[in-house]
Amino acid sequence: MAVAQVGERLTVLERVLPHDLLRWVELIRNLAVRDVETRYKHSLLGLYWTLINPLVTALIFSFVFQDIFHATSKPIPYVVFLLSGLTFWNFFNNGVYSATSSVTGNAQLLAKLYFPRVVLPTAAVLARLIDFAFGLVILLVFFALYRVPLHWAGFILIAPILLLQVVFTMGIAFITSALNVLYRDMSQLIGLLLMVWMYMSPVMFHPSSAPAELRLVFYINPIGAMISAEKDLLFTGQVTHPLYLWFAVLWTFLVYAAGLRLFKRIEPLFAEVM
Amino acid sequence: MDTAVTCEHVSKRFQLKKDRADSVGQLLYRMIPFRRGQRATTEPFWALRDVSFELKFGESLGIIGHNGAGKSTLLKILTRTMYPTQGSLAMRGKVSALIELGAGFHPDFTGRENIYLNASILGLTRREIAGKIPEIVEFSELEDFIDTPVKYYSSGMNARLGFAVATSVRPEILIVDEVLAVGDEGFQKKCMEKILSIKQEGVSILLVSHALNTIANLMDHALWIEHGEVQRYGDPQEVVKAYRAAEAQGETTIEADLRKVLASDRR
Repeated sequence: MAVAQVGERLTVLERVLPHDLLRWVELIRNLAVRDVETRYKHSLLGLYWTLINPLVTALIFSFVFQDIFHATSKPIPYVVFLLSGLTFWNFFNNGVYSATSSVTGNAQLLAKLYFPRVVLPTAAVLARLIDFAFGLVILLVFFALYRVPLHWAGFILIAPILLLQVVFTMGIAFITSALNVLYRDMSQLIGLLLMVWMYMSPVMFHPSSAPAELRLVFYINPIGAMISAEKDLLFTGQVTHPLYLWFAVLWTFLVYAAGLRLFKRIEPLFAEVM
Repeated sequence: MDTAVTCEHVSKRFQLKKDRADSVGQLLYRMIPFRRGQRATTEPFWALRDVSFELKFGESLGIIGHNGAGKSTLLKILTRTMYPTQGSLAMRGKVSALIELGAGFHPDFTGRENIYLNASILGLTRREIAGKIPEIVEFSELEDFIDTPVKYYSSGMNARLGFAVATSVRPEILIVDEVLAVGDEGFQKKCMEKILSIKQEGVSILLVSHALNTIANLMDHALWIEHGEVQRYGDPQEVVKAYRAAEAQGETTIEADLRKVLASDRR
Protein backbone atom coordinates (compact mmCIF):
# COMPACT_ATOMS: atom_id res chain seq x y z
CA MET A 1 0.00 0.00 0.00
CA ALA A 2 1.33 3.38 -0.92
CA VAL A 3 1.82 5.68 2.01
CA ALA A 4 1.59 9.27 0.95
CA GLN A 5 3.37 11.41 3.46
CA VAL A 6 2.97 15.13 3.40
CA GLY A 7 5.44 17.43 5.01
CA GLU A 8 8.29 14.94 5.10
CA ARG A 9 11.61 15.74 3.57
CA LEU A 10 12.47 14.39 0.16
CA THR A 11 15.54 12.27 -0.36
CA VAL A 12 18.30 13.53 -2.62
CA LEU A 13 17.28 11.06 -5.30
CA GLU A 14 13.67 12.19 -5.31
CA ARG A 15 14.85 15.72 -5.69
CA VAL A 16 16.83 15.08 -8.84
CA LEU A 17 14.95 12.28 -10.56
CA PRO A 18 11.33 12.57 -11.54
CA HIS A 19 10.82 8.88 -10.83
CA ASP A 20 7.19 9.53 -10.10
CA LEU A 21 6.97 10.52 -13.77
CA LEU A 22 6.98 6.87 -14.69
CA ARG A 23 3.90 6.25 -12.58
CA TRP A 24 2.15 9.09 -14.33
CA VAL A 25 2.93 8.23 -17.91
CA GLU A 26 -0.74 7.57 -18.53
CA LEU A 27 -1.72 11.00 -17.25
CA ILE A 28 1.00 12.68 -19.30
CA ARG A 29 -0.27 10.89 -22.38
CA ASN A 30 -3.87 11.92 -21.74
CA LEU A 31 -2.90 15.52 -21.03
CA ALA A 32 -0.75 15.74 -24.13
CA VAL A 33 -3.48 14.37 -26.35
CA ARG A 34 -5.98 16.69 -24.73
CA ASP A 35 -3.62 19.59 -25.29
CA VAL A 36 -3.37 18.86 -29.01
CA GLU A 37 -7.10 18.25 -29.29
CA THR A 38 -8.17 21.43 -27.46
CA ARG A 39 -5.99 23.43 -29.73
CA TYR A 40 -7.72 22.19 -32.83
CA LYS A 41 -11.10 21.00 -31.68
CA HIS A 42 -13.13 24.03 -32.61
CA SER A 43 -11.02 25.27 -35.44
CA LEU A 44 -11.82 25.03 -39.11
CA LEU A 45 -8.45 23.80 -40.31
CA GLY A 46 -7.62 21.75 -37.23
CA LEU A 47 -4.18 20.20 -37.24
CA TYR A 48 -3.35 21.87 -40.53
CA TRP A 49 -2.49 24.97 -38.54
CA THR A 50 0.66 23.23 -37.34
CA LEU A 51 1.66 23.03 -41.00
CA ILE A 52 0.39 26.40 -42.18
CA ASN A 53 2.30 28.41 -39.59
CA PRO A 54 5.83 27.21 -40.40
CA LEU A 55 5.03 27.15 -44.12
CA VAL A 56 3.98 30.78 -44.24
CA THR A 57 6.91 31.76 -42.02
CA ALA A 58 9.33 29.89 -44.29
CA LEU A 59 7.88 31.51 -47.41
CA ILE A 60 7.95 35.04 -46.08
CA PHE A 61 11.43 34.67 -44.59
CA SER A 62 12.79 33.13 -47.73
CA PHE A 63 11.36 36.05 -49.71
CA VAL A 64 12.91 38.59 -47.33
CA PHE A 65 16.27 36.94 -46.90
CA GLN A 66 16.80 35.40 -50.29
CA ASP A 67 15.22 37.93 -52.61
CA ILE A 68 15.93 41.11 -50.67
CA PHE A 69 19.07 40.40 -48.64
CA HIS A 70 20.42 37.78 -51.05
CA ALA A 71 21.13 35.17 -48.44
CA THR A 72 22.20 31.86 -49.86
CA SER A 73 22.48 28.39 -48.56
CA LYS A 74 23.96 26.77 -51.63
CA PRO A 75 23.62 24.10 -52.75
CA ILE A 76 20.39 23.72 -50.79
CA PRO A 77 17.39 25.81 -51.88
CA TYR A 78 16.88 28.50 -49.25
CA VAL A 79 13.23 27.62 -48.60
CA VAL A 80 14.15 24.05 -47.71
CA PHE A 81 17.06 25.26 -45.60
CA LEU A 82 14.82 27.67 -43.72
CA LEU A 83 11.96 25.27 -43.26
CA SER A 84 14.24 22.64 -41.77
CA GLY A 85 15.65 25.17 -39.31
CA LEU A 86 12.18 26.40 -38.41
CA THR A 87 10.78 22.91 -37.95
CA PHE A 88 13.35 22.11 -35.26
CA TRP A 89 13.27 25.57 -33.75
CA ASN A 90 9.47 25.62 -33.58
CA PHE A 91 9.43 22.49 -31.50
CA PHE A 92 11.58 24.19 -28.88
CA ASN A 93 9.82 27.53 -29.21
CA ASN A 94 6.27 26.19 -29.05
CA GLY A 95 7.17 23.67 -26.37
CA VAL A 96 8.51 26.33 -24.03
CA TYR A 97 5.75 28.75 -24.96
CA SER A 98 2.84 26.43 -24.28
CA ALA A 99 4.46 24.87 -21.21
CA THR A 100 4.87 28.30 -19.64
CA SER A 101 1.13 28.60 -19.12
CA SER A 102 0.59 24.88 -18.54
CA VAL A 103 0.37 25.16 -14.76
CA THR A 104 -1.60 28.41 -14.63
CA GLY A 105 -3.91 27.25 -17.42
CA ASN A 106 -4.85 24.07 -15.62
CA ALA A 107 -5.99 25.60 -12.35
CA GLN A 108 -9.12 23.46 -12.42
CA LEU A 109 -7.00 20.31 -12.46
CA LEU A 110 -4.77 21.53 -9.65
CA ALA A 111 -7.78 22.04 -7.44
CA LYS A 112 -8.85 18.46 -7.81
CA LEU A 113 -6.25 16.13 -6.46
CA TYR A 114 -2.59 15.74 -5.92
CA PHE A 115 -0.52 14.57 -8.81
CA PRO A 116 3.06 15.57 -9.44
CA ARG A 117 2.70 18.97 -11.07
CA VAL A 118 5.77 18.36 -13.25
CA VAL A 119 3.38 16.29 -15.32
CA LEU A 120 1.82 19.49 -16.72
CA PRO A 121 4.83 21.12 -18.41
CA THR A 122 6.06 17.66 -19.43
CA ALA A 123 2.78 16.95 -21.19
CA ALA A 124 2.78 20.39 -22.82
CA VAL A 125 6.22 19.81 -24.30
CA LEU A 126 5.36 16.31 -25.48
CA ALA A 127 2.18 17.59 -27.09
CA ARG A 128 4.34 19.82 -29.28
CA LEU A 129 6.26 16.73 -30.29
CA ILE A 130 3.08 15.58 -32.01
CA ASP A 131 2.95 18.88 -33.93
CA PHE A 132 6.62 18.45 -34.71
CA ALA A 133 5.99 15.05 -36.29
CA PHE A 134 3.51 16.67 -38.71
CA GLY A 135 6.02 19.41 -39.46
CA LEU A 136 8.64 16.80 -40.25
CA VAL A 137 6.35 15.19 -42.80
CA ILE A 138 5.91 18.53 -44.56
CA LEU A 139 9.66 19.05 -44.48
CA LEU A 140 10.18 15.72 -46.21
CA VAL A 141 7.63 16.73 -48.82
CA PHE A 142 9.69 19.86 -49.50
CA PHE A 143 12.85 17.79 -49.77
CA ALA A 144 11.09 15.75 -52.45
CA LEU A 145 9.63 18.80 -54.23
CA TYR A 146 12.99 20.58 -54.51
CA ARG A 147 14.80 17.30 -55.15
CA VAL A 148 17.18 17.85 -52.26
CA PRO A 149 19.02 14.62 -51.49
CA LEU A 150 18.17 13.47 -47.98
CA HIS A 151 20.78 11.59 -45.98
CA TRP A 152 18.76 8.77 -44.50
CA ALA A 153 21.55 7.67 -42.16
CA GLY A 154 21.75 11.25 -40.91
CA PHE A 155 17.99 11.37 -40.62
CA ILE A 156 18.06 8.39 -38.27
CA LEU A 157 20.92 9.92 -36.28
CA ILE A 158 18.74 12.95 -35.57
CA ALA A 159 16.76 10.87 -33.06
CA PRO A 160 19.29 11.07 -30.17
CA ILE A 161 19.77 14.81 -30.74
CA LEU A 162 16.02 15.27 -30.80
CA LEU A 163 15.81 13.42 -27.50
CA LEU A 164 18.39 15.82 -26.13
CA GLN A 165 16.29 18.68 -27.43
CA VAL A 166 13.17 17.30 -25.71
CA VAL A 167 14.99 17.05 -22.38
CA PHE A 168 16.44 20.55 -22.74
CA THR A 169 13.04 21.98 -23.67
CA MET A 170 11.52 20.35 -20.59
CA GLY A 171 14.21 21.83 -18.38
CA ILE A 172 13.46 25.33 -19.64
CA ALA A 173 9.73 24.60 -19.46
CA PHE A 174 9.97 23.61 -15.77
CA ILE A 175 11.59 26.95 -15.00
CA THR A 176 9.20 29.13 -17.00
CA SER A 177 6.01 27.29 -15.97
CA ALA A 178 6.86 27.47 -12.27
CA LEU A 179 7.88 31.12 -12.43
CA ASN A 180 4.75 31.95 -14.39
CA VAL A 181 2.67 30.89 -11.41
CA LEU A 182 4.38 33.52 -9.29
CA TYR A 183 4.83 36.17 -11.94
CA ARG A 184 2.28 36.14 -14.71
CA ASP A 185 4.27 38.32 -17.07
CA MET A 186 6.69 35.44 -17.46
CA SER A 187 4.61 34.45 -20.48
CA GLN A 188 5.19 37.89 -22.03
CA LEU A 189 8.85 37.84 -21.20
CA ILE A 190 9.38 34.37 -22.60
CA GLY A 191 7.99 35.41 -25.98
CA LEU A 192 10.57 38.15 -26.16
CA LEU A 193 13.41 35.94 -24.95
CA LEU A 194 12.53 33.26 -27.47
CA MET A 195 12.61 35.77 -30.29
CA VAL A 196 16.10 36.95 -29.33
CA TRP A 197 17.15 33.35 -28.85
CA MET A 198 15.98 32.43 -32.34
CA TYR A 199 18.13 35.09 -33.99
CA MET A 200 21.06 33.97 -31.84
CA SER A 201 20.64 30.45 -33.18
CA PRO A 202 21.49 29.17 -36.65
CA VAL A 203 17.84 28.82 -37.64
CA MET A 204 17.77 31.08 -40.68
CA PHE A 205 21.44 31.21 -41.50
CA HIS A 206 24.34 28.83 -41.67
CA PRO A 207 26.80 29.15 -38.76
CA SER A 208 29.66 29.57 -41.23
CA SER A 209 28.06 32.72 -42.65
CA ALA A 210 27.99 34.33 -39.21
CA PRO A 211 30.94 36.43 -37.99
CA ALA A 212 33.50 34.42 -36.05
CA GLU A 213 32.74 36.17 -32.73
CA LEU A 214 29.11 35.26 -33.01
CA ARG A 215 30.01 31.64 -33.58
CA LEU A 216 31.30 31.57 -30.01
CA VAL A 217 27.74 32.17 -28.89
CA PHE A 218 26.93 28.67 -30.02
CA TYR A 219 29.10 27.31 -27.27
CA ILE A 220 26.71 28.63 -24.71
CA ASN A 221 23.63 28.19 -26.88
CA PRO A 222 22.78 24.51 -26.65
CA ILE A 223 19.61 24.77 -28.71
CA GLY A 224 21.56 26.49 -31.48
CA ALA A 225 24.14 23.70 -31.42
CA MET A 226 21.41 21.09 -31.59
CA ILE A 227 19.57 22.72 -34.50
CA SER A 228 22.84 23.18 -36.34
CA ALA A 229 23.69 19.50 -35.85
CA GLU A 230 20.20 18.39 -36.86
CA LYS A 231 20.38 20.40 -40.08
CA ASP A 232 23.89 19.14 -40.82
CA LEU A 233 22.66 15.59 -40.46
CA LEU A 234 19.76 16.20 -42.82
CA PHE A 235 21.85 17.81 -45.55
CA THR A 236 25.26 16.20 -45.24
CA GLY A 237 24.78 13.20 -42.99
CA GLN A 238 27.44 14.30 -40.51
CA VAL A 239 27.83 16.82 -37.71
CA THR A 240 30.20 19.67 -38.55
CA HIS A 241 30.92 20.74 -34.98
CA PRO A 242 30.59 17.77 -32.63
CA LEU A 243 32.29 19.76 -29.87
CA TYR A 244 29.36 22.19 -29.66
CA LEU A 245 27.10 19.20 -29.25
CA TRP A 246 29.03 17.91 -26.24
CA PHE A 247 28.61 21.31 -24.65
CA ALA A 248 24.91 21.03 -25.41
CA VAL A 249 24.73 17.67 -23.64
CA LEU A 250 26.31 19.22 -20.58
CA TRP A 251 23.95 22.18 -20.69
CA THR A 252 20.95 19.94 -21.10
CA PHE A 253 21.68 17.99 -17.93
CA LEU A 254 22.39 21.17 -16.01
CA VAL A 255 19.24 22.92 -17.17
CA TYR A 256 17.05 19.87 -16.61
CA ALA A 257 18.33 19.27 -13.08
CA ALA A 258 18.16 22.95 -12.16
CA GLY A 259 14.71 23.32 -13.73
CA LEU A 260 13.30 20.35 -11.89
CA ARG A 261 14.79 21.55 -8.64
CA LEU A 262 13.32 25.01 -9.03
CA PHE A 263 9.95 23.58 -10.01
CA LYS A 264 9.81 21.33 -6.95
CA ARG A 265 10.79 24.20 -4.78
CA ILE A 266 7.99 26.46 -6.03
CA GLU A 267 5.43 23.63 -6.31
CA PRO A 268 4.15 23.84 -2.68
CA LEU A 269 3.17 27.46 -3.33
CA PHE A 270 1.03 26.72 -6.39
CA ALA A 271 -2.23 26.11 -4.53
CA GLU A 272 -1.75 29.17 -2.37
CA VAL A 273 -0.87 31.65 -5.07
CA MET A 274 -3.44 30.56 -7.63
CA MET B 1 -8.58 -2.07 12.05
CA ASP B 2 -5.88 -0.15 10.21
CA THR B 3 -5.66 3.59 10.28
CA ALA B 4 -6.32 5.20 6.91
CA VAL B 5 -5.82 8.84 7.75
CA THR B 6 -3.69 10.33 10.50
CA CYS B 7 -3.88 14.08 10.81
CA GLU B 8 -1.61 15.35 13.56
CA HIS B 9 -1.56 18.93 14.79
CA VAL B 10 -2.07 20.30 11.30
CA SER B 11 -1.90 24.07 11.05
CA LYS B 12 -2.03 26.23 7.99
CA ARG B 13 -0.84 29.78 7.85
CA PHE B 14 -1.44 32.04 4.89
CA GLN B 15 0.58 35.15 4.29
CA LEU B 16 -1.82 37.88 3.42
CA LYS B 17 0.67 40.09 1.70
CA LYS B 18 -0.53 43.59 1.29
CA ASP B 19 1.41 43.95 -1.92
CA ARG B 20 2.86 40.78 -3.31
CA ALA B 21 4.86 41.24 -6.46
CA ASP B 22 2.57 39.83 -9.12
CA SER B 23 4.74 40.66 -12.06
CA VAL B 24 8.40 40.68 -12.92
CA GLY B 25 8.05 44.44 -13.35
CA GLN B 26 6.99 44.87 -9.75
CA LEU B 27 9.73 42.51 -8.69
CA LEU B 28 12.34 44.60 -10.47
CA TYR B 29 10.82 47.72 -8.97
CA ARG B 30 11.29 46.19 -5.52
CA MET B 31 14.93 45.73 -6.24
CA ILE B 32 15.51 49.44 -6.75
CA PRO B 33 17.19 50.62 -3.56
CA PHE B 34 15.85 53.62 -1.66
CA ARG B 35 12.67 53.57 -3.66
CA ARG B 36 9.75 55.49 -2.30
CA GLY B 37 7.05 53.76 -0.33
CA GLN B 38 6.93 51.26 2.45
CA ARG B 39 8.28 47.76 2.65
CA ALA B 40 5.86 45.01 1.81
CA THR B 41 3.78 44.22 4.85
CA THR B 42 2.65 40.71 5.50
CA GLU B 43 -0.10 39.64 7.75
CA PRO B 44 -0.18 36.02 8.86
CA PHE B 45 -3.57 34.41 8.83
CA TRP B 46 -4.11 31.04 10.43
CA ALA B 47 -6.73 29.17 8.42
CA LEU B 48 -6.20 26.05 10.52
CA ARG B 49 -4.76 25.63 13.95
CA ASP B 50 -3.72 22.36 15.50
CA VAL B 51 -6.25 20.07 13.85
CA SER B 52 -5.85 16.42 14.75
CA PHE B 53 -7.95 13.39 13.97
CA GLU B 54 -7.65 9.81 12.93
CA LEU B 55 -9.74 7.72 10.61
CA LYS B 56 -9.67 3.96 10.23
CA PHE B 57 -10.45 2.04 7.07
CA GLY B 58 -14.17 1.54 6.65
CA GLU B 59 -15.05 4.45 8.91
CA SER B 60 -16.60 7.76 8.05
CA LEU B 61 -16.01 11.28 9.30
CA GLY B 62 -18.34 14.20 8.80
CA ILE B 63 -16.84 17.68 8.85
CA ILE B 64 -19.03 20.64 9.72
CA GLY B 65 -18.48 24.32 10.30
CA HIS B 66 -19.65 27.67 9.03
CA ASN B 67 -18.42 29.26 5.84
CA GLY B 68 -14.84 30.40 6.28
CA ALA B 69 -14.26 28.01 9.16
CA GLY B 70 -11.36 26.32 7.41
CA LYS B 71 -13.12 23.26 6.00
CA SER B 72 -11.96 23.87 2.44
CA THR B 73 -8.39 24.46 3.57
CA LEU B 74 -8.50 21.19 5.48
CA LEU B 75 -9.81 19.41 2.40
CA LYS B 76 -7.07 20.91 0.25
CA ILE B 77 -4.49 19.61 2.69
CA LEU B 78 -6.17 16.21 2.75
CA THR B 79 -6.14 16.00 -1.04
CA ARG B 80 -2.49 17.11 -0.94
CA THR B 81 -3.11 20.07 -3.18
CA MET B 82 -1.81 22.23 -0.33
CA TYR B 83 0.91 21.67 2.22
CA PRO B 84 0.40 22.15 5.94
CA THR B 85 2.53 24.84 7.59
CA GLN B 86 2.91 22.71 10.69
CA GLY B 87 1.98 19.21 11.68
CA SER B 88 1.87 16.11 9.57
CA LEU B 89 -0.61 14.17 7.59
CA ALA B 90 -0.49 10.58 6.40
CA MET B 91 -2.98 9.12 3.96
CA ARG B 92 -2.53 5.38 3.54
CA GLY B 93 -4.16 4.36 0.32
CA LYS B 94 -5.53 5.70 -2.90
CA VAL B 95 -7.40 8.95 -2.41
CA SER B 96 -10.30 9.98 -4.58
CA ALA B 97 -12.00 13.28 -4.13
CA LEU B 98 -15.04 15.17 -5.24
CA ILE B 99 -14.14 18.69 -4.28
CA GLU B 100 -15.48 21.42 -6.48
CA LEU B 101 -18.23 21.05 -8.95
CA GLY B 102 -16.63 20.02 -12.21
CA ALA B 103 -13.13 20.36 -10.84
CA GLY B 104 -10.87 18.65 -13.30
CA PHE B 105 -13.45 18.65 -16.06
CA HIS B 106 -12.55 20.31 -19.28
CA PRO B 107 -15.60 22.11 -20.68
CA ASP B 108 -14.79 21.47 -24.34
CA PHE B 109 -14.43 17.75 -23.90
CA THR B 110 -17.15 15.19 -23.83
CA GLY B 111 -18.17 13.34 -20.72
CA ARG B 112 -16.35 10.26 -21.93
CA GLU B 113 -13.10 12.13 -22.62
CA ASN B 114 -13.30 13.73 -19.21
CA ILE B 115 -13.75 10.34 -17.58
CA TYR B 116 -10.45 9.25 -19.10
CA LEU B 117 -8.65 12.38 -18.01
CA ASN B 118 -10.03 12.35 -14.49
CA ALA B 119 -9.49 8.66 -13.89
CA SER B 120 -5.90 8.95 -15.09
CA ILE B 121 -5.30 11.68 -12.51
CA LEU B 122 -6.47 9.11 -9.99
CA GLY B 123 -3.84 6.75 -11.35
CA LEU B 124 -5.86 4.38 -13.56
CA THR B 125 -4.62 2.96 -16.82
CA ARG B 126 -6.55 3.22 -20.06
CA ARG B 127 -7.72 -0.36 -19.94
CA GLU B 128 -8.94 -0.06 -16.37
CA ILE B 129 -10.85 3.09 -17.26
CA ALA B 130 -12.42 1.51 -20.33
CA GLY B 131 -13.70 -1.30 -18.12
CA LYS B 132 -15.34 1.17 -15.77
CA ILE B 133 -17.07 3.33 -18.38
CA PRO B 134 -20.36 1.38 -18.45
CA GLU B 135 -20.60 1.51 -14.66
CA ILE B 136 -19.89 5.25 -14.61
CA VAL B 137 -22.36 6.00 -17.40
CA GLU B 138 -25.06 3.94 -15.75
CA PHE B 139 -24.61 5.47 -12.33
CA SER B 140 -24.51 9.04 -13.62
CA GLU B 141 -27.59 8.39 -15.82
CA LEU B 142 -25.88 10.17 -18.71
CA GLU B 143 -26.36 7.48 -21.38
CA ASP B 144 -27.59 10.01 -23.96
CA PHE B 145 -25.11 12.74 -23.13
CA ILE B 146 -21.84 10.96 -22.50
CA ASP B 147 -20.49 12.08 -25.88
CA THR B 148 -21.65 15.67 -25.43
CA PRO B 149 -19.15 18.34 -24.31
CA VAL B 150 -19.33 18.88 -20.59
CA LYS B 151 -19.95 22.61 -21.05
CA TYR B 152 -23.50 21.81 -22.11
CA TYR B 153 -24.15 19.82 -18.95
CA SER B 154 -26.40 21.12 -16.20
CA SER B 155 -24.82 21.47 -12.77
CA GLY B 156 -26.67 18.35 -11.70
CA MET B 157 -25.28 16.35 -14.61
CA ASN B 158 -21.84 17.66 -13.78
CA ALA B 159 -22.13 16.54 -10.19
CA ARG B 160 -23.46 13.15 -11.21
CA LEU B 161 -20.57 12.50 -13.55
CA GLY B 162 -18.05 13.77 -11.01
CA PHE B 163 -19.46 11.58 -8.30
CA ALA B 164 -19.63 8.52 -10.54
CA VAL B 165 -15.99 8.91 -11.56
CA ALA B 166 -14.75 9.59 -8.03
CA THR B 167 -16.43 6.50 -6.59
CA SER B 168 -15.86 4.07 -9.43
CA VAL B 169 -12.06 4.27 -9.38
CA ARG B 170 -11.99 2.04 -6.29
CA PRO B 171 -10.47 4.52 -3.89
CA GLU B 172 -9.35 3.55 -0.41
CA ILE B 173 -10.14 6.99 0.93
CA LEU B 174 -12.99 9.06 -0.48
CA ILE B 175 -13.29 12.78 0.14
CA VAL B 176 -16.60 14.43 -0.70
CA ASP B 177 -17.32 18.13 -0.44
CA GLU B 178 -20.77 19.70 -0.46
CA VAL B 179 -21.04 19.19 -4.20
CA LEU B 180 -23.82 16.70 -3.60
CA ALA B 181 -26.10 19.53 -2.63
CA VAL B 182 -26.70 20.39 -6.28
CA GLY B 183 -28.24 17.07 -7.25
CA ASP B 184 -31.93 16.44 -6.77
CA GLU B 185 -33.15 14.54 -3.75
CA GLY B 186 -33.30 11.22 -5.56
CA PHE B 187 -29.72 11.52 -6.70
CA GLN B 188 -28.51 12.69 -3.31
CA LYS B 189 -30.05 9.60 -1.80
CA LYS B 190 -28.45 7.41 -4.43
CA CYS B 191 -25.06 8.99 -3.72
CA MET B 192 -25.41 8.51 0.01
CA GLU B 193 -26.28 4.86 -0.57
CA LYS B 194 -23.24 4.47 -2.80
CA ILE B 195 -21.03 6.11 -0.20
CA LEU B 196 -22.30 3.82 2.51
CA SER B 197 -21.95 0.76 0.32
CA ILE B 198 -18.31 1.44 -0.59
CA LYS B 199 -17.72 2.19 3.08
CA GLN B 200 -18.93 -1.35 3.78
CA GLU B 201 -16.16 -2.53 1.50
CA GLY B 202 -13.60 -0.86 3.74
CA VAL B 203 -13.29 2.57 2.16
CA SER B 204 -12.79 5.52 4.49
CA ILE B 205 -15.15 8.41 3.93
CA LEU B 206 -14.54 12.09 4.65
CA LEU B 207 -17.66 14.13 4.04
CA VAL B 208 -18.08 17.86 4.32
CA SER B 209 -21.69 18.88 4.53
CA HIS B 210 -24.16 21.38 5.85
CA ALA B 211 -26.75 18.62 5.98
CA LEU B 212 -26.50 18.14 9.72
CA ASN B 213 -28.95 15.27 9.86
CA THR B 214 -26.90 13.29 7.37
CA ILE B 215 -23.79 13.81 9.47
CA ALA B 216 -25.55 12.99 12.72
CA ASN B 217 -27.26 9.85 11.48
CA LEU B 218 -24.94 8.33 8.92
CA MET B 219 -21.38 9.19 9.94
CA ASP B 220 -19.26 7.36 12.50
CA HIS B 221 -17.48 10.48 13.71
CA ALA B 222 -17.87 14.18 13.32
CA LEU B 223 -15.45 17.09 13.40
CA TRP B 224 -16.64 20.63 13.96
CA ILE B 225 -14.26 23.39 12.97
CA GLU B 226 -14.69 27.09 13.61
CA HIS B 227 -12.10 29.80 12.95
CA GLY B 228 -9.64 27.10 11.99
CA GLU B 229 -9.85 25.39 15.35
CA VAL B 230 -11.48 22.15 16.31
CA GLN B 231 -14.50 22.92 18.45
CA ARG B 232 -15.57 19.37 18.97
CA TYR B 233 -14.59 15.96 17.69
CA GLY B 234 -16.23 12.64 18.37
CA ASP B 235 -19.69 11.15 18.34
CA PRO B 236 -21.64 12.76 15.47
CA GLN B 237 -24.90 13.10 17.41
CA GLU B 238 -23.18 15.05 20.17
CA VAL B 239 -21.07 17.18 17.85
CA VAL B 240 -24.11 18.17 15.78
CA LYS B 241 -26.05 18.91 18.94
CA ALA B 242 -23.31 21.21 20.19
CA TYR B 243 -23.09 22.86 16.75
CA ARG B 244 -26.82 23.49 16.70
CA ALA B 245 -26.74 24.91 20.21
CA ALA B 246 -23.97 27.33 19.24
CA GLU B 247 -25.80 28.23 16.06
CA ALA B 248 -28.97 29.05 18.00
CA GLN B 249 -26.96 31.23 20.34
CA GLY B 250 -25.22 32.88 17.42
CA GLU B 251 -28.52 33.74 15.83
CA THR B 252 -29.74 35.47 18.96
CA THR B 253 -26.66 37.68 19.04
CA ILE B 254 -27.17 38.56 15.39
CA GLU B 255 -30.78 39.43 16.10
CA ALA B 256 -29.69 41.54 19.02
CA ASP B 257 -27.17 43.36 16.84
CA LEU B 258 -29.80 43.93 14.21
CA ARG B 259 -32.19 45.35 16.76
CA LYS B 260 -29.49 47.73 17.96
CA VAL B 261 -28.80 48.92 14.42
CA LEU B 262 -32.47 49.41 13.72
CA ALA B 263 -32.87 51.30 16.95
CA SER B 264 -29.99 53.63 16.12
CA ASP B 265 -31.45 54.20 12.64
CA ARG B 266 -34.73 55.25 14.05
CA ARG B 267 -33.12 57.83 16.26
